[in-house]
Amino acid sequence: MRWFNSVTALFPILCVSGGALLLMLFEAAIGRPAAPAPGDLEALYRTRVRAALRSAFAIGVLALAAAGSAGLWLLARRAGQLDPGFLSQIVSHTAGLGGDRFALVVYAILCAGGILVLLQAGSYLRELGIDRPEFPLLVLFAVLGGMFLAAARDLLLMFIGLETLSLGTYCLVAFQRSSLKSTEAALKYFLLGSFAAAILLFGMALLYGVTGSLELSRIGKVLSLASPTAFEPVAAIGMALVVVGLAFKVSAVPFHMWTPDAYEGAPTPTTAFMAVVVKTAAFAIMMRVLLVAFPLGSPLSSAPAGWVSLLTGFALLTMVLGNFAGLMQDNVKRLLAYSSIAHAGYILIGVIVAGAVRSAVPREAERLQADALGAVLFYLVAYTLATAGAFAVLSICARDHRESTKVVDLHGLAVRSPGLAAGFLVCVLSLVGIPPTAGFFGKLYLFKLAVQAGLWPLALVGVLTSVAAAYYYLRLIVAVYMRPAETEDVAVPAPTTRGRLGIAAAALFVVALGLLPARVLSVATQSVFDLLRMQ
Amino acid sequence: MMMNSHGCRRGALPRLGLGLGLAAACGLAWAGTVWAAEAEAPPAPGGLGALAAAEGVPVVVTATASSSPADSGASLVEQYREGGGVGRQSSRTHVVLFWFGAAAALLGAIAVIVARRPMRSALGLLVVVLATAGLYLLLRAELLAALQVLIYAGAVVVLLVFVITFLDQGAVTAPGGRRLPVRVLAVAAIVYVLYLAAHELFAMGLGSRIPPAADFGSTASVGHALFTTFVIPFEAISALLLTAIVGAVAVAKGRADGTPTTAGGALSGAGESKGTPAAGHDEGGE
Amino acid sequence: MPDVGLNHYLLLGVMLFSLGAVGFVVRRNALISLMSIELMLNAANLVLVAFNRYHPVDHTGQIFALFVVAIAAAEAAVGLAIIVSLYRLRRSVGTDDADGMKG
Repeated sequence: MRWFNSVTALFPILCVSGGALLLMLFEAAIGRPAAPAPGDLEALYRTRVRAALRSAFAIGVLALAAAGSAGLWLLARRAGQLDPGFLSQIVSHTAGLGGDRFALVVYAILCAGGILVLLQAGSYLRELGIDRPEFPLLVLFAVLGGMFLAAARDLLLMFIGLETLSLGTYCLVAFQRSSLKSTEAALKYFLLGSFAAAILLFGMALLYGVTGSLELSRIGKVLSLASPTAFEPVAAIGMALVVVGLAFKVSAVPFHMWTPDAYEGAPTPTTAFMAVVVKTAAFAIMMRVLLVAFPLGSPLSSAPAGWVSLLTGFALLTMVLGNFAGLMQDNVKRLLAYSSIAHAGYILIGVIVAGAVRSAVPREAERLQADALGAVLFYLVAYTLATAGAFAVLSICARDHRESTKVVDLHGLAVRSPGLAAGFLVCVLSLVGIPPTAGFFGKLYLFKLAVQAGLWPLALVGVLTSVAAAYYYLRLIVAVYMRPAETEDVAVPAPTTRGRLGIAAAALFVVALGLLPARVLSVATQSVFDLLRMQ
Repeated sequence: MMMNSHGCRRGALPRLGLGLGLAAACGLAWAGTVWAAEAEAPPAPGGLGALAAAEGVPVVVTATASSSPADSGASLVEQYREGGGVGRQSSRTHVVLFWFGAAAALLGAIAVIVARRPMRSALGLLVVVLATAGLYLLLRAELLAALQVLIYAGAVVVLLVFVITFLDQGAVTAPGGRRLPVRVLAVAAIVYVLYLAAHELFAMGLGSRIPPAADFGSTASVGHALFTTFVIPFEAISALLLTAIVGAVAVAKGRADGTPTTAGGALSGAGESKGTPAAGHDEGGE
Repeated sequence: MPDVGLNHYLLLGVMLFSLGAVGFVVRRNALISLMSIELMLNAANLVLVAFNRYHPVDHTGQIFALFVVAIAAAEAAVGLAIIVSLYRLRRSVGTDDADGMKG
């Protein structure tokens, strides 16, 4: 049954890659239909049905993968209780692509993000006349890259996953190829992203040189040896380069320059994809690399030359700059871009706490670390749902080859479409962190853990900047609910079931997560133990 | 020649072709010399190949033993620092060829970043690529050297040159020019960090003098590792190449967007030839 | 004649890498930026292979470099596709150098 175990453990990845291949072969086989003539309603209808089927297929594939991850997670937990060897047996058959529970949780988040993006993409792409089959295909491939990243146990697979995700995303940004803005954004994103990848690669090469291995756990063991030569300045430089490369991908502040432009220029569903899937995958690999290759007790984790101090600087800058730059934006997409930068800062707090745990008892330290990383996963779930929901409203309001991206465009949305406005309200409230929503508990957990770990300056800055951020989020809500539309030329939601479904699901889950946070948090915390005990 | 570039636009293409050919020929000749020299030089100071193989076996065993998690980190760096002490490591030819290759690579790299026209940059890149291929041979990575010439010089640089000619001397500027202080700061930071890195790396020493096994870096042994230990990354990279193909087609093929009236086969026909070569080279990449 | 060893290769790698990084930051031409990135990837490859040569237990470094070559090719293809697309757009729009981005 060896092959059965391997195939089972790889099910989510096989599902997404197989689905992508099927979709591609299918599209290639039946070819592109001729553009329908202006009056030919039947042909137009056929084109639309095909597009809907395509996107439904891709959504189904992602949903199947997410369900498979959930099933595997349960299986792994039961197996872990019955026979601890079972899971490790599965994992050892897929060496390099660990099917541990941390990866499974991240798979589920990535698939959920992909589904929300595809749900909102349909009407948007159609309105802009770019409803081409490559979009769901590239989304599937990029999600696949993100899954490689979530599962990577060595630097090689990590680099491949990162590049798959990034190349897919560059193309999704340039997808609206008749738009100068979209293409320019793609070029800028591509150049800076590849630059970051090259920096990351050089750091990996140095780490390989010092440790002689690409496996994260081996690197961790070698670097935390107690001998005096174990601390190598070369390893420190390699670590710094890797951290900088990853900071580019999560758009932490000194390396965030590409974010507002790329987010603004990209088609709105792509923007949602970047904010949700790319960021989640990048944080997943960041946690794994930092905590496995430079674990607690390694001279490269704590001060003065470790990644904790480096990330603390990034996190402070990110929270402050992200939120204050957000205050000055009139463009909703740019505003949400700065919002996503600011949220990266909050998430970094959790990673820092996991690296700064001080405890003499190893079990206790491990528990504290698991709490911190579990809180990060929880935050990622909350952030994914809320951000994807907020962008979905913007996508649906795009009409007649123009987008609604100014704050003014949202005026009076509550009157024109109360349902959409309510969904938008819930998502934005979650981004602010107002109590009955998931975002509140996400922030609460992170700040609480930071205070417990003695990192109260980080928590303080986090709370203060959240208060400042509330101002620009509230501006959006005021625009939707309290301002009448001044002109006729405002965002009118396109009638689409899929988009509404996506927003409803996102808002519903945001509230549900806010009402029952403990359940999800415990799932996240349990999963993180697999990461911390990675051999 | 650079001054009156407008005047001799007509003669530019043949001259560029000539330069390209010359650079390629020089690089290939050099790489060939390296290869010949390496093939002649005994892989280990012992002499005969059989002897080297016999020596290689215990070496590999000790190296594997020492790389157990218990003590490998310290011993690895110490190995680099102190050297294993199995006599003189590099022959005179090795030293001469290294300096030649290093000089060529550096000059090429400088050409890449200072050239005013992208075509000259591409020539510089070609020189760097070929010089690096030669250095790979010196480092006993023969498969990598061959693929470097095939893929980098044969596909990537050719693709670049093709696009540069298509773009009329490459008029595309990157969007969002970085402001001057930012650039100065960035350059200073880069130079500082890499100066530190260079300092530390140079202190690594000449490296261990344990002779590698006789078949180290041979195509057979690299291929074996590629399809056993690294088979999962190998499968994963097919997804990456597929993504690049689909993406390049999605971005560059025709301009059939916008109103349905402009969407047609006639328009996208010209563009098709842009997207497809990119994809074709990718497949060569694997 | 002084011996040549690991550190010489590493130094060369670092110099190539920094030349590429400086070129990326200084030059505004997108194609030259792309070539600078290729330069940096090449430098990283050289470092990987050099480390592998002086720690010849397995072929990990060489194989990583092999993968990087393939990835670099894919990256170049996507980057050139974007550049070509942008070139066509700018030519048809007529704004050759003005860019709509705010820096």
